[in-house]
Amino acid sequence: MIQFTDVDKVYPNGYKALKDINLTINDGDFVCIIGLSGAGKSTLLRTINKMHNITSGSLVVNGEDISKAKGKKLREIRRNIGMIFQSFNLVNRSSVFKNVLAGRVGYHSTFETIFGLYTKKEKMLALQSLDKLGILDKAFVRADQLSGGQQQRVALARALTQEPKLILADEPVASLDPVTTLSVMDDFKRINKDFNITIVANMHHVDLALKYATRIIGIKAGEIVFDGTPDEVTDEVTTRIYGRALKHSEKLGDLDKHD
Amino acid sequence: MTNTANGKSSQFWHKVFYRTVVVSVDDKNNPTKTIEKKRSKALLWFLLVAGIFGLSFVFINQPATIRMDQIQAIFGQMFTPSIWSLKTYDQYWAYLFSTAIPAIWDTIKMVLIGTTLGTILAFPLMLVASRNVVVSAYIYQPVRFIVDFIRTIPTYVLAILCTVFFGLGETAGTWAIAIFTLGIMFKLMYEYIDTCDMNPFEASISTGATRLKAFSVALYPQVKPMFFSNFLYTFEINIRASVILGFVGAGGIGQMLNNAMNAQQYDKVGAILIPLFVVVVCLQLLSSYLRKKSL
Repeated sequence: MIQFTDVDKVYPNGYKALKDINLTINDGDFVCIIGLSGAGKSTLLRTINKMHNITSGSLVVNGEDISKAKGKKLREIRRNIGMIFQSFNLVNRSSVFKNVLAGRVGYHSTFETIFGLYTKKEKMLALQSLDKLGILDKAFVRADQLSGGQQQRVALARALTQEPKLILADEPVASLDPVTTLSVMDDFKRINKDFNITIVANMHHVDLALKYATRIIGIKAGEIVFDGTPDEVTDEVTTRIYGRALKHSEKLGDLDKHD
Repeated sequence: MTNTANGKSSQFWHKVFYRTVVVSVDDKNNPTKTIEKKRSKALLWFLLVAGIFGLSFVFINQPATIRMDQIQAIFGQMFTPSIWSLKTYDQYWAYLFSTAIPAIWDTIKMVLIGTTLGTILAFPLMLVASRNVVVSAYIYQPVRFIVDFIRTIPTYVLAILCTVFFGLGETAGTWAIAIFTLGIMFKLMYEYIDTCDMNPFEASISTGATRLKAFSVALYPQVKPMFFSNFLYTFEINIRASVILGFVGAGGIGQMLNNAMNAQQYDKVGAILIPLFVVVVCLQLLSSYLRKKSL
């Protein structure tokens, strides 16, 4: 469970990125955060694992107040939170297997990390994560040899290898083509359902968010302006979030045709 | 009056620094829309450099002549036995294989230990000096300053200092090379680490890694090929630098080379330089091969 209470975030240059956020995300939710570029989606997401620190308020993640956590405590909270990025953030020069195993560094000493001393169980876990995403055959290929969709799956496998309770995804499909986008989103859905992992994702495409999420959070200028189920998102709601209703041409198209 | 004069002169300088580029023309070829582009300063720089070059010829008092006869004589003697020292080819080869090559082998061993030692010492320092691994400028700036200061000490002075600290011989040479290597590897590597792709580093931090662990998982694989390539490059520089060490008695072939040169025994000089040349070329081939393979 993630619980924001009166959270504010002010950047050092005085820019107020988040204003008085009160939000509870339950275990097993598939949450999509939508909003304009610069509205604070990324900031909101990154406060959850303290990649950005909050200025005031409290933020409790899985029973621990992460805003007060430091050092070892913070790293222990982080290793239970997977994170997916728009640009995949893999080590291009390393093999897929090594990239996925890197999800385990939080469980090892510096010495073990430097010399790659992972247990046999962990190595199997890494391979099983790849298998779950259907890219086991790419395990010993260099990460930069893979297509964008495959690279994002490697990133997902890395997150799964952490055995997380929660996965944060910052624009996970923004650099993928429409067809790959749908199959990666399907993977997210499957992970959410099969392993009961909470997913919080920032999305650019509203109709994609509506299709996959169980809950939509709309954010505008650092404030939550909508919080509800996908069914409740009407033109009135998108007007509240984006300033005007979305035109048909601004949507991805009829998603069910791709299935 | 003064105002117009100022206006005119500023207009003049504007024309000097900017030129007009035509965007479109009407049917009479008159420009209808133009934008301004800053003039290239390449000519200015060329004139400046050429000027300094020309002036330096004027102020250097020596005639700019090359003594071809001397070059011919010395190079000729380098590869043939002479009446002064190595009298026959048998003696030349014997000197080459039993004296010059073993001495160079000893030098290589000294340089290898020194370079490795210096690299090991440089490794933690280059991490502390990279502004993306250690974020605080209060830490990385002083470290950069101190090691940059060490690097300004000329090799010759470093060698003399080491003979004072460690006594004459190869220990002094090894330490001089280690300190010299520390400076070079440090500079080359921290600048390279600064330009690494930080995205995987961020990802690693998000999994709960410390900055050191994130470095070893996400940045070291990026840095590794450059690290080995620079190690070989430094090794090669050190082989040549080791000649200077010998001049001040800090071990290596320098002593032997110096003696031969002072006695004008250019055949001995040649017998030392030939294998040295071979070693340097081999190192260069190895380093370019490794770089190509790893990229």
